[in-house]
Amino acid sequence: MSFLYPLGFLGLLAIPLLILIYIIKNKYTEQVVTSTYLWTLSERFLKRKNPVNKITGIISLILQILTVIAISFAIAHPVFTMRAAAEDYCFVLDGSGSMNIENGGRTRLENGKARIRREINGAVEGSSYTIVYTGDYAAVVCEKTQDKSLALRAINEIEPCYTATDPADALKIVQAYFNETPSLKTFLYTDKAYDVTENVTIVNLSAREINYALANVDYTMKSGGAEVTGTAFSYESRANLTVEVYCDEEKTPVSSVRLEVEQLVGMPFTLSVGRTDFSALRVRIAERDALAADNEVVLYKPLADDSFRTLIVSDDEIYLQAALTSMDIKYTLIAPEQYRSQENELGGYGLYIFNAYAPKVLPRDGAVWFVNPPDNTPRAGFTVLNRETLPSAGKMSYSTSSSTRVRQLLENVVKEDEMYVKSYARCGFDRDFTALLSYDGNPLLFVGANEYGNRQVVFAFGLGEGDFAVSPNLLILMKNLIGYTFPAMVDSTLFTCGDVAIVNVLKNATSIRVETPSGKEEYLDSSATSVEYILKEVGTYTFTQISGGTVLPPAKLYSELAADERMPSQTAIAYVISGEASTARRDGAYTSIVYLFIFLAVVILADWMVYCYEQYQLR
Amino acid sequence: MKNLVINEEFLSQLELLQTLVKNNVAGLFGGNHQSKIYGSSCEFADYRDYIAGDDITKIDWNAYARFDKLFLKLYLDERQMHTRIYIDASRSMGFGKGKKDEQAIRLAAAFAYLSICEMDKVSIYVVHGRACDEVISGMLGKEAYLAKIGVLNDIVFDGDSFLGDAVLPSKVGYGDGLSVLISDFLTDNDYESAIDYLASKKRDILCVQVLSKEETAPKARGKLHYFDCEDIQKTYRKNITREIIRAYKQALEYATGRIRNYCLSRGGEYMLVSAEEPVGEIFFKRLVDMEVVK
Repeated sequence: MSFLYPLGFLGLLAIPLLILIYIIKNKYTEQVVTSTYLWTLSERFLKRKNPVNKITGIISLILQILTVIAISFAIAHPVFTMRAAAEDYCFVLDGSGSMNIENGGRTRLENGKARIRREINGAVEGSSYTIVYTGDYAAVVCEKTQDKSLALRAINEIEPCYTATDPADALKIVQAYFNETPSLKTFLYTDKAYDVTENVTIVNLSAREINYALANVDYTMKSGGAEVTGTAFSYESRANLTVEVYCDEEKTPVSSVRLEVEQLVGMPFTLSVGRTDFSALRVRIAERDALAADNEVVLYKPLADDSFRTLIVSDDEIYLQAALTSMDIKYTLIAPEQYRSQENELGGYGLYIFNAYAPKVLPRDGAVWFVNPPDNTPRAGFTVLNRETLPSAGKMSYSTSSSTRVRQLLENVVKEDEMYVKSYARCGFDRDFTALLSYDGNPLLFVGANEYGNRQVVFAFGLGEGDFAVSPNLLILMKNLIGYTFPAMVDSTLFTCGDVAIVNVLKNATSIRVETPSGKEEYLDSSATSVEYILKEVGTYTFTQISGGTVLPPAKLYSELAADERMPSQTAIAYVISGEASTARRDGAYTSIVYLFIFLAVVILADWMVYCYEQYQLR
Repeated sequence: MKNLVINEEFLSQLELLQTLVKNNVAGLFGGNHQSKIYGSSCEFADYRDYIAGDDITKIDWNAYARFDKLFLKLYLDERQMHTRIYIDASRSMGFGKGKKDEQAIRLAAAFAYLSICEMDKVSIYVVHGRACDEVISGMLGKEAYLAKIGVLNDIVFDGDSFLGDAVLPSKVGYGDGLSVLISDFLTDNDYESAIDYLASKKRDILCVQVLSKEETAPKARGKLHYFDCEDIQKTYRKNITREIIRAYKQALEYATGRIRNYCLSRGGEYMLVSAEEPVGEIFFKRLVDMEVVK
């Protein structure tokens, strides 16, 4: 037994004081009487057979001393180290994707839960249980409870996830508990291999299950068909694997290959699909293993809307015409005067490009590009403040924002390629825009949505001014901006579980429904131009948007298991809870000082009863 | 100096009483008490044959004329009694608020007066330690009583007392009256031998135990350390509770019962008197009830 606060025993110094007070308080009053004969004689008539009666005079003192001892004991906070003493348990359960690997009909996660249940059921009464779950996020699902049933319920409610797990967050949580209770017994239930551990017991749940996986699966369209490439793995042993490709929902593979795969050595494969009329290719390993989630990949064709019409309003041949042409985008070119005269009649275009022209009325039915706007256009969301002409060409700056949108729009842009501008229109924003290029803090290229909710791109400078037009970034940016202007519902169709998918809100969309691989349905916000969505499951996600009462063709993407989760046993990381562990344990019955105080209350009550009895006796 | 609380009026009331002695006494002198022995009183008792040398004035000549034989006429003799009063003058009698000493003096004076009124002789003794001092000796008549009784005021109550050791060597008489022992009897010392001795001398015995109210119904409570006023070595230290008070009363009952039974077994009388009890009530009620006086 040890004590958390041994200084509490200083309270025992009160005992001599108590005895002194007792002696002073209980001094006998001396008195001379006529005779002590009768008093002495009365001794013969006293019922003094019970020896306990001899201490009745000091019962009050004894009770008070017991009270002082108990209070000192309580303050000292005893910690018992008896054989069957209670413990403070902390169970950390890894809920990463690899924990879905099955063994004996149960997943590793279920095995881990069973092991924790067994540990809790076998623990001494009075032990406390903290359960930390580390899946796609780290969370405390049960904190320092002594209620076994509560802890077991919390365990049962844990559900698997399919993402990779960063143990750092859970480690921080456990570290905080450990700092608070150095005697904390921490168990980590995982299938990862940890090289360095400290103050934690690793319970490895992997059992050399047979596990195959596909990796780096992709396809390219060829003339008259498609070519599927990828790599097959076998983690536990050498294996002969069959990789098959299916078109859409067909039951018969259109192509397959037999591979001899060495353990832990990726075997690349190439499969040819002699068709182009598919919307998805399903690639799978035919052999069954413990983890089905990494044996199949579905490659969906993106559903980009490329059926738009473009109207260019410009006096001159502009550089972007060449760019559009290079992207095989058809357009109509008219002069500003013609547009002005037919402004109310022109319509039905997917994209309006105004070069050095500011229309009085913003088109409502399509996206809008402004190039070098000379004036303001109502409802465009920005204001041309003035025109700046630089004495010498100034270098444009790329946005350093890490937002998904900026990364997407500046994708493949060579930032080392310096671009200069001579003059530009200084603009102010009335709405939220994302600047991609700027000079001296003034936005030169920015994107966003106008008041009609249509996507809008603004070049605040003439493409012919400066060296932008001759930069190789022109075409890259144009492609990205066209992709932004005419978005597909999802930008990519193959993700890793845990990734964030950007769902573009299509024009006039009023509802976005997501159907997850497990069949759950979710609805996303359709008021913005795009929505970020975290992929937490392995399999096919289906996004459906409704526009004007019409259900648009759904977009599908595939979320594959993270690479780390396919081969968890090869992960060599450290799990160190720093600090000096204490071996002190405690007895469950003494866990709560409340019991001690209840005892004290009883003692004090007894003391009072004795006192009252004495007073009654002296009546 | 203690003042006698017995006034003239009380003394005159006492005159109406006379002591009742259960046994006829065999005193040497005449008095108001009839004796079994034939004497010179006016009350006829019997006849007997004349024996030469008898007083010829007591011959019943009428009987001689009738029977022609000399008969001597006998009368009951009336003897004078000698009342001896013993006062325990130990310190316990005079200590505290109880005023047992005053009560003892009052009782002694009252008994003496009663005896005087009966034409008896009265001696009053004070027991100090093992000594029995005669402070009034053979007092007879009211004049002598009024002249001498004041000496009782000078009695000093101090020290211990041993009734047995004190009475035994003293002159107690034989069959000639009443012996009154006035004490609190709160002692381990031997007093039974005194009673035995008096009984063996054919004395009528009356033990008067005087106790104060504090002794019969103590009100002390709490943690007390008692010291005996007669012997400081004798102590009693206890938390006085109801239980102890109950035991004390049992002890008191036991102690008084022991004296009473002892007296009765020796043909004596016993009376427990409170120090605060009026003497009038003691004599007019209790002693009358006990038929000690009438």
